[in-house]
Amino acid sequence: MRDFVKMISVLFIVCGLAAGSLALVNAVTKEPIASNEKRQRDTAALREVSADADEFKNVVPDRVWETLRNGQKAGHIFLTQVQGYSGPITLMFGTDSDGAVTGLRVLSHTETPGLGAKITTAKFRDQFKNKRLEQLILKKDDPAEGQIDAIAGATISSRAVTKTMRSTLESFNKEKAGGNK
Amino acid sequence: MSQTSFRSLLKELTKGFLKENPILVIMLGLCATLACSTSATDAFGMGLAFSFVMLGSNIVVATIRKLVPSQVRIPVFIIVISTFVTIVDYSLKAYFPALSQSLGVFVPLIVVNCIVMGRAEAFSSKNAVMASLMDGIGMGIGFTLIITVIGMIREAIGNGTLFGHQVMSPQYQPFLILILPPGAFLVIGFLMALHRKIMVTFYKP
Repeated sequence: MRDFVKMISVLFIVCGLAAGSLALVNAVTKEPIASNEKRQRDTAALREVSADADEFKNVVPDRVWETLRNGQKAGHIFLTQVQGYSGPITLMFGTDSDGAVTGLRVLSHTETPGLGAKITTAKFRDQFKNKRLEQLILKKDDPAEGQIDAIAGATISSRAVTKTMRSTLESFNKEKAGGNK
Repeated sequence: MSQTSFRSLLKELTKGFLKENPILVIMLGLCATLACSTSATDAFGMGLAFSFVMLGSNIVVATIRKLVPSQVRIPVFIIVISTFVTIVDYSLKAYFPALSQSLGVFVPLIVVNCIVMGRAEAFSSKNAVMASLMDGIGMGIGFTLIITVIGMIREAIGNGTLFGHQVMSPQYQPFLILILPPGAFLVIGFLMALHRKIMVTFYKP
């Protein structure tokens, strides 16, 4: 009987100490782990739209990033939000140093599933690659210069995305030309 | 500290390097060795994580060895080991996220790495704290050394790089099989043979 009590109490104490030390470690590492995960999510998006730049400098907090590849300036990344068909669309896109688009990613949206929601598909997003500012307009809005095909049945969503990319780039270029960076 | 006990401690420390190397001689827990040696960096990281667990569990098990009834010793060892593994896992995730990602599930799996359990049962539950500390350090170094060598060989031949830097000429066609699981067995086999040769040649009684 005494053995029995001793076994149980030893196990109990060991488990208690283990649980206590783990609680302590968890308390210490909880913050860094959460922030790592968040940073990783963000960096994954930044990497994708910038065609694998390896360094990102947040020039305008959470709006504009300057990208570097092997220490060389590679372009910019923009985060912007626009009113779509049924709600705000948040998107991130990158440009290279010549101002051509390197990638687009829709971070969040509430467009109609099956129609406007197709702005997240690679088929729609890949059209923007290597397009320059003046080409960033729907073909149906400007048959001469336009290079972007609207999604069938979702012209408003497509136009919102295209327009906001264009206007973001325009205002960025204007600011840069004005020198008030 | 007397001369004899110092020498015996030194023996406990160095036996893990070659004579009782955890990978090449004890050959327990090869799963982590096989899986985490595809690159030298991963292998080294795994070695350090393992060493920490080994050291921590050896010290704690040796400290409480007289208080723990033998009937419940195995559960107690497992709790001690898994506590240290969880500490390592959380710390890696918090401070070395890249390493933690590439090691993946194999850090939590140190819990079931039988070398740690084996040393707890075979050594630190029967020896004093200092000796167990030395045993833990020695086993850790021996494991880290060999797994890093395996990682270097596999990375250099199978991928043409070493710790992520290109070492083979650009024309080199990587010998892919060494990065794949069979490559791990091949490299460990060759290292075991080499180790036998060294032991037979130099340590023959």
